[in-house]
Amino acid sequence: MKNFAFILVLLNLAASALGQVTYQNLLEADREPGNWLTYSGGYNSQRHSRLEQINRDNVPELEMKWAFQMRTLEDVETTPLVVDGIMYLTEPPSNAHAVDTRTGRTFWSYTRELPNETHTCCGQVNRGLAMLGEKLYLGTVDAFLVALDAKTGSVLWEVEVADRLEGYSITVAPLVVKDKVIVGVSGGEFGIRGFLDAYDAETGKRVWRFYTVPAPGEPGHDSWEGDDWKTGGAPTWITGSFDPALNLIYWGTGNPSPDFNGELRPGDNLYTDCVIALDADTGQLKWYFQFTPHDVWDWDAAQIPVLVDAEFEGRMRKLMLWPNRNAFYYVLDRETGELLLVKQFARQNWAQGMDSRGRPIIKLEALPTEKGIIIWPGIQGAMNWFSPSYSPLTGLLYFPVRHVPTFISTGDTDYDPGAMFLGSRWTGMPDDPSWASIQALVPQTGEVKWEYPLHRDVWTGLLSTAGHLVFGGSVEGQFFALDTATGEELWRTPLGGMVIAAPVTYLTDGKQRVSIAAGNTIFTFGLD
Amino acid sequence: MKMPRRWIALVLVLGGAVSVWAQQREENPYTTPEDVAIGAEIFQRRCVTCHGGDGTGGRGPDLTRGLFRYGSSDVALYRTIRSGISASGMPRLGLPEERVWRLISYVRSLSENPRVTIPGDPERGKQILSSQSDCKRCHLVNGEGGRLGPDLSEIGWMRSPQHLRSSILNPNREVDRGYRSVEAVQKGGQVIRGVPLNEDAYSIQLMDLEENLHSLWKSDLEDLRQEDRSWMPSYQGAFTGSELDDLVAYLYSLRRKKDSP
Repeated sequence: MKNFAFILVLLNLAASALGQVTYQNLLEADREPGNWLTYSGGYNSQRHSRLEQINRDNVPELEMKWAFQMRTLEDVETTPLVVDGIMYLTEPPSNAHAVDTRTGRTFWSYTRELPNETHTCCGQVNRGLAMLGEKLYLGTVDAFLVALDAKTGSVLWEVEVADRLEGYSITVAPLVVKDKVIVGVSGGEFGIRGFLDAYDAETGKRVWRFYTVPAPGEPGHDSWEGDDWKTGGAPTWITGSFDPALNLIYWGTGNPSPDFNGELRPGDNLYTDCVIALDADTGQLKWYFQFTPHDVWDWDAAQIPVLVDAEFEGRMRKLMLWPNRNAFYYVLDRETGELLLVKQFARQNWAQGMDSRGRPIIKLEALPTEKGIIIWPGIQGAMNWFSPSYSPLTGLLYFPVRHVPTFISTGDTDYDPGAMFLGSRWTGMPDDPSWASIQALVPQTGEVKWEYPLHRDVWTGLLSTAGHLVFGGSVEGQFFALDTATGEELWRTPLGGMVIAAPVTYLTDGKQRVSIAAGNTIFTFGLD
Repeated sequence: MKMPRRWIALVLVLGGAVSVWAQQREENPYTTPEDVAIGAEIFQRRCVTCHGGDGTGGRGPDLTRGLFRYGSSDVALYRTIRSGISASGMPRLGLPEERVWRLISYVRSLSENPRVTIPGDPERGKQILSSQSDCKRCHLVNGEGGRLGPDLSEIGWMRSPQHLRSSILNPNREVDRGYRSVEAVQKGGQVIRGVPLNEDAYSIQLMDLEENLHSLWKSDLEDLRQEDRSWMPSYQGAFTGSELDDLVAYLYSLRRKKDSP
């Protein structure tokens, strides 16, 4: 009993700043390489770390420090956050863990109770958390945004973002911007009407919503006919980027619905397959760029906007680098949305080229028919959601490339809430020569500096470091480190599970660690 | 669309699930008085430790209300008993199908004549908890409060009224493993006092009394003392009888999620 007075005294002390994330921390994430504070490492989404303890000379000495196995049978797509020695990661479908990075042991686990019926097209996956203060933010496959206490995993608040029975779910890692949590939705295969939301980080109250399919009377609505917009798709299922100086949030949008039968939704179908630039405070649209107007191949622009300030044609510009699912690489001016460069980076058979404004000149024979066509890249695209990396040291952009075709034929479809809304049949082509690689590109020209060949497919995200290394993995379960300058493989190790996540790096007790999800396990490597 | 390659697998899985579901019954086929009697025998052997001999609960929830945290339909109860709820302490019982159904029949019979009475006023209890006691220094309730003690936001689903009352008056009578007192004495002499979060042969993770998280190698410790007592003081005498009734009624009313079928 006498301890109680002692406890009360202690409890009245101010909380330590350790283990907390402020907006200022997020703004200066690159100066805090001992932590991994947000999905893409920082607001510019370069996924580059200044850490150099592990480098091209000593990387062959990497050894595993610990592994954290999860029970899930789903793909683990999570990018962990690491704050002051504690790793926060998600486990599919919508669970979270706090793991000590010294020992690999958990501090707590959060298991979300899910309803029997949820709607996800492609696995009940989750890509990670966002953090502000001592709160973690988790999107769930039943379409809730949940705030968890970072010290206990207790639910502090939760809010229903959308109706799961209409086909909405959340798989994206949220993004904290100032005092708001930005979160998007999945559901492009279910005829949702997509949107991007901002919630008050403290209370969970919604601050703004931007619908990615405009309603009657709104700009862009004339790119739809009739009621097609109501089921138009344009989900927002990959984390975007933020430019604090311009106060703009950049976010990629997904495919139009139904996916493949364009006759059911004539028009350009804005703002599907776009990057949208939104005012961070109001959610108002400042500009957009549509990569694939009237898409009939399922080429979501669900890529990470990589923000780089660099010289372009003789003058410093605020660039956005975007290798798209449609096999073309784009450079945009992120102040205005002006197209600066577009160049093919993977095998494709759908576009004769691009006009001066970046609108594709489509080959008629590439449009899906009832009889069917073979399309390059296939419906999974030449890129997909996996994270690129940009190294300011080499000035190169690194990203995985898929050369994988698909056979598609169109079919009729009726909208039924919560049911798949595709308008096609399709199949992979196992006998066709598919291949994959990691590319290093000169951002300003699209010139391929080097290429690291992989087998038939790739789903890894990448991480570059000041140790002149690019880390990534293969679908066959290898984890590797490449030389940023040459692409030479300097180290690899078999992890025995598909890599479908991005690596992160951070410090534990002052020593650099690299972690990656493979199979259902997080593996952590270090030198000593 | 992200990974349609898995749709084929999904169709196969869903097809499999449908066929499994077709074998699993939607309603309880074992509902005769004999089935209830057999269910009672199973209950006495497997359930009373947590739910009490009469089903009114203990460290496990009261089963006599006819409302269940993880669903009240036959199918939901079947799932709960057969598979367990890993996060809640409810184990997977691993009973054959017909014994699960008979157990459900018995559990349903418990709610025909509810035996639990809650004399207090939850609203007054809420005011007591907010203004007259220091519960929230250590306990979280719906997003507000401390971290050292259990999150009470859904405690009404998990504990019986008598267990709640007992925990307030005599916290040391039954202390959950995660809330026992720990004192880790480091080799330099520094002592970290708190509650354990995780432990293995080589390390221990704990939250100290200032709510800081620690992960300690046992090889770095001079001593590690763990006692089967709580940091929570007894509130015996701190409340009048009716205040205690009100507080228990409020705690018992805390169920964030509604009953679902």
